[in-house]
Amino acid sequence: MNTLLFINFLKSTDAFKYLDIKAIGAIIDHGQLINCSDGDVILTQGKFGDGLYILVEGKMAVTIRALGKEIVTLATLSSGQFFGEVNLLQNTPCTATVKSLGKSTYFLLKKSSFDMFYVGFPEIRYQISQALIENVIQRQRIMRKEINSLSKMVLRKKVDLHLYTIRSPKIKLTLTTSEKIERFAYLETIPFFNLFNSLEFHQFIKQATVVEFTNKFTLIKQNLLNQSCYFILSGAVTVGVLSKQGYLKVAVLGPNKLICSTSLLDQQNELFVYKTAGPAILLEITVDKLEHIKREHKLLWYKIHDTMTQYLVSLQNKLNTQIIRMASENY
Amino acid sequence: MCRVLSYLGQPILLDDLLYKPNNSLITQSYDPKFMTHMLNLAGFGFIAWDYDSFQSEIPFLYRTHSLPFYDENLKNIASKVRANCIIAHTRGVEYSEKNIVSNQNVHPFKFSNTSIAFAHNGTLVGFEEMRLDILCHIKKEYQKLIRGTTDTESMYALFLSQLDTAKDTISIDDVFAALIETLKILDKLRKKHHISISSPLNFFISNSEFIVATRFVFDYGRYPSSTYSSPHMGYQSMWYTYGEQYGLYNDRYEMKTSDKMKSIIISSEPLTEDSTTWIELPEYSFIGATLVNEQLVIRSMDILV
Repeated sequence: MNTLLFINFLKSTDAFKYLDIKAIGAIIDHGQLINCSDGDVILTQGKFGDGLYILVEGKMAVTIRALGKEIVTLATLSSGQFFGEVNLLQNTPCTATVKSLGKSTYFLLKKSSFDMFYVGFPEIRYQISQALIENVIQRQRIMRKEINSLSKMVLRKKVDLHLYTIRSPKIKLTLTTSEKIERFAYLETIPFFNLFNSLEFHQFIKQATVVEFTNKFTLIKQNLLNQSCYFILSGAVTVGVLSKQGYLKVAVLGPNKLICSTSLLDQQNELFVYKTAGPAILLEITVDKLEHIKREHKLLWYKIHDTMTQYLVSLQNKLNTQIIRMASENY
Repeated sequence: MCRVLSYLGQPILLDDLLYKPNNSLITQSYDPKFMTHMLNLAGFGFIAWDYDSFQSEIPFLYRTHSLPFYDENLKNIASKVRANCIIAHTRGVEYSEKNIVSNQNVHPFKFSNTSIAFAHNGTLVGFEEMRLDILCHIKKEYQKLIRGTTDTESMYALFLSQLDTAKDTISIDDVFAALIETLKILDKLRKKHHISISSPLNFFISNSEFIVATRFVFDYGRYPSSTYSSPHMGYQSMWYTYGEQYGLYNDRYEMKTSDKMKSIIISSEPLTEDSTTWIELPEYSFIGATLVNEQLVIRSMDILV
């Protein structure tokens, strides 16, 4: 394939849909074309992959081993489709095995190159992440529908221990920027803020409001747009979906985690409901503050975006677990 | 924090759970693939029921405060004993001379006047302040059997005190109900003593006919100070896998997949580095499994706080 054709081909893929021709050129410089024979295994479920893979020619089978099932073929990939994105965005083992069907060729952008783009091409890295997370969220929408459908047949027992009395639902603490920076200076050393430099960290804190929430406060509502994101300082937050059986918990998050709505990244209705599990203290960053960061502090926005995509990708496994449990357990 | 596994199902050699998989329970105590920030050096124990053994209602019971990976007797036993129902536990405590490492403090616990065994992964913060109050809620027949100094043994006795032991058969629902009462009492005592710090309570309970596990934390995410930092801050993990039979298939230790669900493992982490055929028990939930006509029946319950 000649270079111009290849550039246009990559530009037409979902993974690189937001990149211009110059950016595609940079991608090609940092990636490699690899030929496969029939039966070659490119990704192995449970093991780490090498980066982002774009199928150029040929076909590949995506299979999974799941609890209680024999090996299942999930999909057959054709030219232009990508895989390896979960491993790339979250640095966790692959969730499926990908094997070549006949001869094939794929383009590989290695994770190490993708990570280096932070330094040389942060905007390219951001645009690729955005394209990939839209795809991940789209899959999560399908999974949520499946959970809704399964929940009609399942009646899971629930017990409320009523461990907390409900007080004032929400108390905003009025702190100046310098008071916040002094109070939360310790956060700068935690792994979550590893990639933020001091200025970026201070800007993040400046845009945040400290809020104390009571138990079972709904922070983010399902099916709405444009809701705040939160960083958990103390306490816990549950993530769930509203179903025929009421609120179905998908995950529980504790301190030093950022939670955000899917609508912030794909501009569609929010997929999940977030509620506090016990009294909690959070940093709240409203949508207008996030817009301000996007406009005025691009590099900080890219880093926040990164943490958001990592978080949303981590929900994939949790949704999968919910589906497997509902399909196989008795209530 | 400790590491625990429980098993119910087809007869299985203890070796296939304790030693052979690449993240077996014994391996986890010194070279874990998950939760790598801690080692478990404060003792090891197991309880196991073999339905075909002489007086099968009496379990095999082994407890040692020695390091299990140097224990030749344990290896010999594991290579020979098959069981249908197992709880095994390696104890992990803070590296401090104040912690008592003794056989009396090794899990799982099983009092002589009950068929129910109990192990725990976690910590009841403020136990020393609450200890006497907890004792007041424990029936006398169990009070006198407490021999160690752990929070677990007291919580075991407290749990037994909530069960209706007059019943011939204890169901999973009975166990769930007793656990709810146990948590309510502990919550009341925590409030009395103004304790609001995160306390993981992952229990593993069995009487050979069922296994029940809890994945629960009081006040998750609340710590002594805002700058508190510890590798134990994540929600205490619990995983499970089920299928026909656990063993070596295709060069991998995993459950044999078929349409028959006959065996289940519930443990603090997967027994293999490859966790693709394991799933996490959701936070704030209970799970119970029993065998009905040799088929596994799994029940779970969501807990709201």
